[in-house]
Amino acid sequence: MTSNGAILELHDITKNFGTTRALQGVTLEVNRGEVVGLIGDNGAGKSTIVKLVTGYLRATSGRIAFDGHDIKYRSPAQARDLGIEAVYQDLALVEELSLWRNFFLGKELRHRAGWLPFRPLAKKQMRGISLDALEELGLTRIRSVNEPASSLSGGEKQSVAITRAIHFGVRLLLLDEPTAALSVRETLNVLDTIRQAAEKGLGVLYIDHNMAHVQPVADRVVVLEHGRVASTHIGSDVTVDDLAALLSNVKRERESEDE
Amino acid sequence: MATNSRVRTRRNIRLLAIFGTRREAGPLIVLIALVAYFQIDSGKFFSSNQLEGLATIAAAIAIISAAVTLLMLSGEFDLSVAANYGLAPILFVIFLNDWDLPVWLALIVALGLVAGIGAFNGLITTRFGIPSLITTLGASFAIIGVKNFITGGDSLLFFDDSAILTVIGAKIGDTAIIAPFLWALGIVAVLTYITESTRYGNWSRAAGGSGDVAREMGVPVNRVKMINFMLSAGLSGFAGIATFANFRSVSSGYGADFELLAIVATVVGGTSIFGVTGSIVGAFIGTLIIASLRTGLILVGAPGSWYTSIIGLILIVAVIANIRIHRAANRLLEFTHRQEAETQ
Repeated sequence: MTSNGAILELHDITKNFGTTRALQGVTLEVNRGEVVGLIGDNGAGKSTIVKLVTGYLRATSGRIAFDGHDIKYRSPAQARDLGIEAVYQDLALVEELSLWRNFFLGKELRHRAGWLPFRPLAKKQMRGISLDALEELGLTRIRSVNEPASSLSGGEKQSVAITRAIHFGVRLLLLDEPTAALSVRETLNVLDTIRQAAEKGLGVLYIDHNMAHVQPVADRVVVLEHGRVASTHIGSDVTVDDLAALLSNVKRERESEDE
Repeated sequence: MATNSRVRTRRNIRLLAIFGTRREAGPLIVLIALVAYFQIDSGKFFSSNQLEGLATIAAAIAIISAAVTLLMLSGEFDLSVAANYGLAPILFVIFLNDWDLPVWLALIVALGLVAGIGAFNGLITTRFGIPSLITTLGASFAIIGVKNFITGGDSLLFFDDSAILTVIGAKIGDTAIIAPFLWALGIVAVLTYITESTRYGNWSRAAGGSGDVAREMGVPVNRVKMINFMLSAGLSGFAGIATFANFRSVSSGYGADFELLAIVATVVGGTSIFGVTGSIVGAFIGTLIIASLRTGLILVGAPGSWYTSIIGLILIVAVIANIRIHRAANRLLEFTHRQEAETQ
């Protein structure tokens, strides 16, 4: 595999927790502007991959390359600085904090006021930018960006978090079951936002165990099984039923192994 | 013409609703009502004597509750503020009288030590992941013991009129204004600016709402909480020294109920005990409510012991009223918003 077009490459990654082998020789890549669906049963190693890529865990062996360069992780902050961001199901926004404060959290715009020890926030600018971004997202229902994030539905929060990532130039987006607790309509909205992210050139690694959610947006689907890549499929070539069958096969194999 | 007045009415309703959504709205109404009642009944609420008494009580609580509010926004409590409030002037006097340190150095060392207690509170709370209610309650008992040991239960006096003590605690000329109250106003202004208009304020609120989300967005949550613990302890110590500089004496039991009064002022002022929402201006209004009750109840001839009971009632009523007013105002705002959308 060359680094041409690839924003994230995992090469032969192994991760052991004591004697437990969470990942065994996983190789996969995510290209710019591509949504890669990563599906697998509970315990297949999906979350471990997220934690490795975001710098919360270190691989036992193998290498991870971002934008063609190997990364030696020191901290999660380093992954963030490179432009890797994860959006988690329950950890998208701070509930009671206003939408504009949430949107710019950790990346606040500030005025240049020389004599003040604490530079003042550019509130008007941040309100304007976040309002534009939310309107582009189709969130016209809200009264103002001063409202707390808790006034949004679960799907809207996910979408805001993804939009925020796009706005701040994130280059690789990791989504860990973003639609797990959402209604059908809300799920469609979030999937739409994910597509938008890819169209803007972000690489998206979309982790889920729900094939019906992954299949419509994924350009490629990687099936993870017992910490190994079992198969890779082109998104448009494979149906939800195929993927479901693959996963249940995996399950059956595992059960027969256990017997 | 008719439509014009309707537009004006609608705009006024909208402004009222926006005012109501401010967390300070409820406490401000309570404060104005209290002050009006005391003034009408006694005619002396605004006399120079009364105002000086009010400023003396308000100064210390205002400084402490401002710091406590910032800490509470970041999701933590400090029950050791009263202990620190009492400890700082005792350390200060010991450094001056027994160690013969210059005033400025005694001040810095005393405040530094007290801020160190705040750092300890922060470190224990963030590293061991235990509730700050427990950490600071423990610290409070430890400090009270140390205080009693140092003073042996006696009052410490100090009569030197150095320039620094004058700046910190003196009465200004013949007016009702005392320096600690001016310090309180300054600290309220600075902390309000930090809370509302700086990145640090945003980080504090986010840390209080969800440490995990804030961390994910790159906010140094533990450091923010740590600094807020140090501010809470250090400013409580400063309030103690300012009061001492005003009175020129200190005993080990002074200000013993201030942690609770500071929390009352903060909560009455509309700050949520769960963090994120609230304001330091609200806590200042809460402080003025407490101080007005203290001076006003005596003026209207109520038995002195009523004060404590009424503070308790005000706390409960204020929290209920805050929630109700906030909800009603939000509904009103929603209504005007919908109407506007329909007319357009």
